[in-house]
Amino acid sequence: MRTFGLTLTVIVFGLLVIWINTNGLQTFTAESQRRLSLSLSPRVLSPLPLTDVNGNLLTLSHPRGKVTLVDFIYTRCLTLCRQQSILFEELSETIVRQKFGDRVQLLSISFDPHYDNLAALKDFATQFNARPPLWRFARLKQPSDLDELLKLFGVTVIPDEYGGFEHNGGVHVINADGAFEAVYDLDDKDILKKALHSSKSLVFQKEFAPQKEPL
Amino acid sequence: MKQFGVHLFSLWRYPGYLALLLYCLLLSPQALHFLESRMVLHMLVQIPLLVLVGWLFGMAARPLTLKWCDQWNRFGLPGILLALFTLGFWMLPQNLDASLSTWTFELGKLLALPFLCGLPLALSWKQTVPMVRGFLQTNLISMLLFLSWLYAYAPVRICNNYLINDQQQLAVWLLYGAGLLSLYWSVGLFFGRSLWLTSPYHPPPVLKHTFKEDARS
Repeated sequence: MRTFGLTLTVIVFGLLVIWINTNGLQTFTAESQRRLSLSLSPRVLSPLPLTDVNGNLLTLSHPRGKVTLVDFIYTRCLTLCRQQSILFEELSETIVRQKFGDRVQLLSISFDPHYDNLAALKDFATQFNARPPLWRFARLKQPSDLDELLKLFGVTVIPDEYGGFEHNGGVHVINADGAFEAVYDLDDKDILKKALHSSKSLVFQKEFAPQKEPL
Repeated sequence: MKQFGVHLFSLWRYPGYLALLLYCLLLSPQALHFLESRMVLHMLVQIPLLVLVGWLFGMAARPLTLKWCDQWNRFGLPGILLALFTLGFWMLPQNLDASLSTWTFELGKLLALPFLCGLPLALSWKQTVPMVRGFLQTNLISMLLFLSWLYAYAPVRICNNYLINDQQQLAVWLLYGAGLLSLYWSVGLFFGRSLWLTSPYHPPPVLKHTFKEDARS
């Protein structure tokens, strides 16, 4: 009888712990945990100072009223960062074509502030035809802010065996209120649509409520 | 020299001390840093050794807990389940990642794996029904193979803190581990003592009668 009671307790307790830990069997990796926690509550960003390739000062939450799509890169990268940048190039073309320029902007932030100076970033930006108001490249003004930046976005960067880095990629969405709201995979076809329409931002819900398509 | 050898050998007779020694070694900052630097070392050395520490503690504590176990841990059922839940929890990639980035999870791992997995396992293993034991052994092998397949073919990194190469290396070692374990256990199955003979709860079937029948006919 005692064994039976203890067994039942262990089962109930064990299942409860696993259930809570995996958010109801929804998350199994740190990456999915990060995405779920964002979808439940957008993260308010602290104003870390950044500089773009022309030396202008930016902050993460600066231009209110626009959705910002952010990716993290380092210019020596040969794999993931290039994929991300190719995607951003496509996105910028779509934005120009569909005239979303007043609603969305793109921002690529380097997480290698020691190597990526403004010249290196500028060079990288021209490779992907980045035009500044729409798609900016930026680096941290103070390299010491790096840990805070990565922690803010939940990005883990680890050095690989070839002198570069491995990092979790994706398109990070900062909504019109300046809060970090979602991460989308690179192969997601509806990034723009999702970023614009499912925005939890109050500004956006008011301004861009689903409109009727003209027939 | 010979005396030293005897001492070292006799350490095996005192599993509690051995466990304490091993635990202290594993808890040292150097060992933590080294064993957590690669995914293979983390999953296939640190975690099994932590479970082993608990197992050795359990071996030392077993004589003291026999009466208690008879009442509360019959057939080793709650103990085995507790060990399985604990191991399952720490096999989740997110918790492995969390143990590297937050100290509470690290502490939790270092305490839970010996005392909630290894220890109850040692107190329960001998009392389980042989069928359950076989079930657990075969399931462990298939779980290792499944994990190996998962890590080998996952298109993305499953742990943010480890390189993708690490993940694929782990897949290979998991495969080796599963192979070795199944080899070890099947050797025991075919050439070792029968499982029936080792269980105190289930004595071997009496074959005397049938022998007599055979002799008459």
